[in-house]
Amino acid sequence: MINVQKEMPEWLKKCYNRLWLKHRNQAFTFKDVTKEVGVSRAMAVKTLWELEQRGFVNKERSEIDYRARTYRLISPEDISFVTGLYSLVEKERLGKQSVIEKLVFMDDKLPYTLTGSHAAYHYHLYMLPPRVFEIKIESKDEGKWIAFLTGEKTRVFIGDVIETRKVSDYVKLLHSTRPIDMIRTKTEEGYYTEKPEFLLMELLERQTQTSVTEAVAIILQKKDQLIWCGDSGIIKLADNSGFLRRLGFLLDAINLEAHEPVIEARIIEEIRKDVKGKSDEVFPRDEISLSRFKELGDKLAHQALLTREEMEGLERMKERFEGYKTLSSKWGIQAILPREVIRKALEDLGVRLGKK
Amino acid sequence: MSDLERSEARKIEAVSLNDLERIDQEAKNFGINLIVIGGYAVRAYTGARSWRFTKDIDFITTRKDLTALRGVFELLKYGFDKAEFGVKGSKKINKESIELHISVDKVIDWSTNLEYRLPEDIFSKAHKMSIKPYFEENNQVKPSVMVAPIEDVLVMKLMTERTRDHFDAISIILGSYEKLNVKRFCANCKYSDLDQHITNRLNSFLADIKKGLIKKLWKEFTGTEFIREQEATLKERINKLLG
Repeated sequence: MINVQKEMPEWLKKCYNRLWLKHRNQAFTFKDVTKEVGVSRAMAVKTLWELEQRGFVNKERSEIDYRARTYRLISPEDISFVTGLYSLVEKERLGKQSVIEKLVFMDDKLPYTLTGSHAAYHYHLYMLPPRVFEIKIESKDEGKWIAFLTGEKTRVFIGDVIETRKVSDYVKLLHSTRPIDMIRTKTEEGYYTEKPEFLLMELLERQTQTSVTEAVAIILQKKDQLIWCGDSGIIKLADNSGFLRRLGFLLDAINLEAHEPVIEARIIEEIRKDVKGKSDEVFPRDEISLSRFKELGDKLAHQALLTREEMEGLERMKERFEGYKTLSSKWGIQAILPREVIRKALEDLGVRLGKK
Repeated sequence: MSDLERSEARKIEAVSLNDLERIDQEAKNFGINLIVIGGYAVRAYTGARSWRFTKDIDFITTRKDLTALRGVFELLKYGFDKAEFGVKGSKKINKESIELHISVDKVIDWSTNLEYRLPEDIFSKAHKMSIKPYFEENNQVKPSVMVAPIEDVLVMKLMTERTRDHFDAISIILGSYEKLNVKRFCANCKYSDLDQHITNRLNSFLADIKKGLIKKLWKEFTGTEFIREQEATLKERINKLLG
């Protein structure tokens, strides 16, 4: 079956081959294309655009000036692999497939797992995920994935994701530090997603207010199915990653806000056994919370310049961050998590209303 | 969670969007002041990239309209209960439920305990807007409902301490600034004694741009980079709001 989407016309093949001979998978610029392929600026734009549409070149933009770009070609071997795959897809469906449909089609042909907010949504169905799909892959397969997933509606990034107007979905490729087979599970729809136990570690590592909310939502929605003990259990994984304190704190905070033992006491006791003394850990350590908290401390340090009303306002805001003082001291961390973060998730998921 | 449940999420969105339209129509039929605020209002004023909402729907109404509203909820098979913020409606769909939160005469923010008193013209200035679905499969369901004016939605997002609301506020400023009446925005802040609070918030946004925190916030919620052009536009618009 002829593949109209991935197939390259002769002129493009020639340009690709010249560039490949010169640069292989090293970075090059737009100027290099005009110089080395010997084409006009307009033709160089067309060449790069055609390669990009097919996912045969990886474009990186400068964070400082997003118009400044460098390019890296996808290898001929990776292109052949993907062209072969695409020839198996019905012609009329080309380009129309969603990221999820493509992942279903990929099946076991290349190892991968969905992670981040899309994987989290699969378990909690609470907060809608953003338009960026995060996919863990093996680093050697990077080129294949770029060529495979790039399409009419999708752009693929290795580093920072920069929005473009014409596509609706973005994919961010991440290199897995663990064997992919170990951390993934197949969904009924037929794509792979990260197991909740491993995903929770990912979310605890990110420790933004959003990732904390997603972790809480997964724990609430899946608490009866989650594996807590054993080698691939949450407790062991958290211990190996150095996240025991924040995990214990979070579970205790859930129970505190729920006014009932949503999480079994034995699980928290099991975690507590391995936590000794104090640490200098601040949780969550995301830059936004840290900055806001530090700002409050700085303002309160200059009391002479503040009116009584201002002082009271700042004190209230500081208390908001330090709402879990007893739990902070129990787990030997400095928690700066506003209580409404957990309360809102509980309320929305019906826990405080006694629905679950 | 099975993927049947994932497709269930799409179905729930379809039901909630259809119900949203029906509630809006019935409110109009019965002459009830009822307009959408919260996540669905943000949807109306922003692009899909910035949606990280839950399925629940937030409204505002007036005390005098409550009795008639109860009838509308019953008609659509929603429970109707008193809540701290006003009233809430709830409807079960298999294992999940759709919650309607209705604030009455004012909107109270939990994180600051501040109140936004509804300005007198809020219902007359509300306009019909199309609410875009999140799931592509629901593209045929695009209800057109009465949404709170952008100035009010923005103040409600700026008054809280929640970073998620701050992100929504930034998305609105970037997505629909041209619809915003700066004079009305300022007057509404003053009406609720929030003018100083909102000024401080906008100034803190400017400081956050400098510190690179808005970039982090943007990335946390959209997964994409906040580019220089967006940064410059946001700065310019915040300065205009600060007047």
